[in-house]
Amino acid sequence: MRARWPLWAFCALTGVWLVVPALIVVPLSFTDKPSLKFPPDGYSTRWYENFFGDAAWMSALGTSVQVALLVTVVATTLGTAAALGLTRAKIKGLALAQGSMLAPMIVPGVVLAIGTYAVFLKLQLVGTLAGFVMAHTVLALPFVIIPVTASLRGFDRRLEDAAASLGASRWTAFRSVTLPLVAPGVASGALFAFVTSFDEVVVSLFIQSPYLQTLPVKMYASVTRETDPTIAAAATMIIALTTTLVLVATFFVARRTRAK
Amino acid sequence: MPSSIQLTGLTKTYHDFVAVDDVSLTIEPGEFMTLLGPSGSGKTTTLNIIAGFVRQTSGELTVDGTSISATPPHRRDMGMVFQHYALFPHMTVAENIAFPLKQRKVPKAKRAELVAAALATVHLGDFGHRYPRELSGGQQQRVAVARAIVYNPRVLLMDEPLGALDKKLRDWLQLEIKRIHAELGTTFVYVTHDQDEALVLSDRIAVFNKGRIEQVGPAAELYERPKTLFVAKFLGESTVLRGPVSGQGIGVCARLLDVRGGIDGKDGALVVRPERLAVRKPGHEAEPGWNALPATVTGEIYLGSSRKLELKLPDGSPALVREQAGGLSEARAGDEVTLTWRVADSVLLPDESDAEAVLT
Amino acid sequence: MKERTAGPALLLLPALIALGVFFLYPLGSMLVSAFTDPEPGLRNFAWFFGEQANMQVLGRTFSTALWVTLVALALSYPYAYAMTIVGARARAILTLLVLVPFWTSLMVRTFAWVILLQDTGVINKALGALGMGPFSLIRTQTGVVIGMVQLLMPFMVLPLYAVMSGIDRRLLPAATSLGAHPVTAFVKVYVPLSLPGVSAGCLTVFISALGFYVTPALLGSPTDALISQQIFTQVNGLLKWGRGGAMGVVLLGLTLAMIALLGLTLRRTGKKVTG
Repeated sequence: MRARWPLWAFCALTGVWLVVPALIVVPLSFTDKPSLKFPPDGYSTRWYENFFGDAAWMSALGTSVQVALLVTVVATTLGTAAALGLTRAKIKGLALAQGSMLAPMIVPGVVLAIGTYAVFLKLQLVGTLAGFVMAHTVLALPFVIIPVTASLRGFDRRLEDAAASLGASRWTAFRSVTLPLVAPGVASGALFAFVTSFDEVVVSLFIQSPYLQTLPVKMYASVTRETDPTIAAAATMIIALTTTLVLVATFFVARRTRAK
Repeated sequence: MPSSIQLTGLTKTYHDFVAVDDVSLTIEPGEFMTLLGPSGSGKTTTLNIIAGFVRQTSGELTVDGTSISATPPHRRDMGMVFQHYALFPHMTVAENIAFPLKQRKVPKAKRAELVAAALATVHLGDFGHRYPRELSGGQQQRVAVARAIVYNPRVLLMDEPLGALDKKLRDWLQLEIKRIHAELGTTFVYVTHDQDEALVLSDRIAVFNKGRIEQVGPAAELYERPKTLFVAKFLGESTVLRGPVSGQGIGVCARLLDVRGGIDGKDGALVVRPERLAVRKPGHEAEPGWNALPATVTGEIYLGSSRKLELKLPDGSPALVREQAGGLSEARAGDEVTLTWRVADSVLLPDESDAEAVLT
Repeated sequence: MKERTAGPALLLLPALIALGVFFLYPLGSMLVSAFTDPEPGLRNFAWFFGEQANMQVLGRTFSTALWVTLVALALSYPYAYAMTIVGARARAILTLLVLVPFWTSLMVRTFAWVILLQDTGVINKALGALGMGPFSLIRTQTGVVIGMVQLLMPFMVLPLYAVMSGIDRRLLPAATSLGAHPVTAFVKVYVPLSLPGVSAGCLTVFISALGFYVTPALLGSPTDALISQQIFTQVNGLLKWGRGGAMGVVLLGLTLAMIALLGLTLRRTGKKVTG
């Protein structure tokens, strides 16, 4: 056996490098000095107080959560319906429909952003809640369609026929048999949709207004202008929120798989 | 020139588990040696030590008198056929077979010639341009053999090469391997857990159990003169009569049976092969040089060329008789009979109660 | 049967309408503005391809994406390989580590890199302690590459791991038994079999890197802008919709060309290995 320690050392270093950026933000948010110096000299919670006391940060947080929740509902609904259509319809151009629904994943953000900006100026959607929701929904759709399609393809259509033969209407069969079985796919789609919207920066930078900003947009503006550790507090809360979401989702998926 | 291989006191331990325990074995030039044993008996580890994939904890390994313990696998000049063939999926059959030749810097023209010859040897002449996935299991197996023999290695190692194939194909490929061995005259070391395969192929068989070699010898010797109960039970079927051993014989079912030879210790096991047992009328008395025991027939299995009788002895232990067609007795299930056999046809061995545990 | 096919097809409609209004319409209007703003013609493209500065931006975008891809590959290949040879628990940890950047907000990670890479940041301090530096990392291409590689690692590691975990590891001892040195065996047997993962990972990372905006904008130098930043500047700063649109068309075209290339190589290598 050849010694494998160089490989392990390499992996450990790479692993640290992958995680450290996310982790340094947390201690930084508890610094007691008004500078982004790492490591901090002393600790305090003043930047959290600052965050929660600042109307601009609070409204950005509120907007982000509101937009992300609405996107989750809209994108999950549209995406699940589309995934059903994609797996069950027998029409020409299905491949084209599928391709175009996944296209938002590959179009560079800036390209879509300037187009959306132009259209939103025309439709007067710049700086509106509806504008953010729709722009983010389009970006989140592929992340719903992919997992839902995958779980629908693994679903045995004969179960629905069986339910129908037992007297269930098509809708009842779908609701009581299909939906529970593809629920993990829908749930992970919903999670992706929330996170996609919550993290989106580039398109949001164009369609924001001084009166309506999302949290990442506010952070972007702050990073370019100030050295205020309130950003670190905001970042820490974003990390906490997404980590909680992912952990809860993983927990539920693990419990479901155990139950089966 | 085929090579000889000598294993001396080979031992391999993993933490506190002894995989190979003080194995010594001499394999003659050109010999077909089979390492036979149940899974976990150390036979594959021993083969991997010979191939160089596993480094022994202690002991010596020489080929033609030269130690190769420190030689890495790629310089041992041995051919190996793996259980799952291990053909390179991104290379054609011809490229697979040419691979070892390229490693040896054989010129291109010579390479093509040797590849064609190897393909001919395994009867796959037209398959050179195919990819492994386009071949059946049996064909892939033969490609693996061709790849291992094309560079004329001094030893050919085979690790359960027929394990993944169905019975019919296996029977035919056994004969193919035997033919190739005869054609090449190379030293073969073959690992299997299938006793029939070992009997068909081998010049000599080394029976492995719990990391040790129980017995080495030609098939007939192992079958007729097993040295341990494990070997007797692993190779072929047998009736085992257990009892205390004294100077006069072995006590079984309240009778004293004649035996040849003796054993160390008190607990003996008398082994008789089913074709050496005969069924007589109840009350039949043993002639000189013969033993006799009363028994009840519990079942019969008709096998065409022969018939198997299952019997129960007075102490409840089972016995097995095989009668050739043409020499069938009249015994039927339920009959009381006498079992007889020549003393010379039975083998007295020390009883090892754990021999059963390994087999079941 | 007609009733069974028309229903599911209708389910596609809401998503398609949303895509039409908020995806295709925006892209179309960008395309139109590229050819019509301020007046119909190819003037915007002539401007883009005619100016030395723009070609430098394009070259810089390409070289950044290429560096990001190469560094990511160099880091991911051993990492993904390690994932295939360790036990289940270690593999779970390695997978988790790779997914951390995936789940951490892009803005948060970029912000963290701003802190780490600054001239008085942790990295320069550590290098200083070793007697090296200080290096200017932030506002340089190096900084951009470091940040982007970390952000894009999952897209390289995951396809590599998917392909590598399907490779039969017993082929390596097989090759050495045939006389190949372990290194030769790895290069001749393992590497070719892992190529589908390499090409999928590289093209995905390259494509994503071409269109990155936030990371180069915050970690890079304003004078060494990439094409995304230039598009932003043209439209948001200078209100040159036509010029921004033309650059958008070029970036989109390049991306699509790369995707076509990806599809082509995947089909070819896929054929060679499976079909």
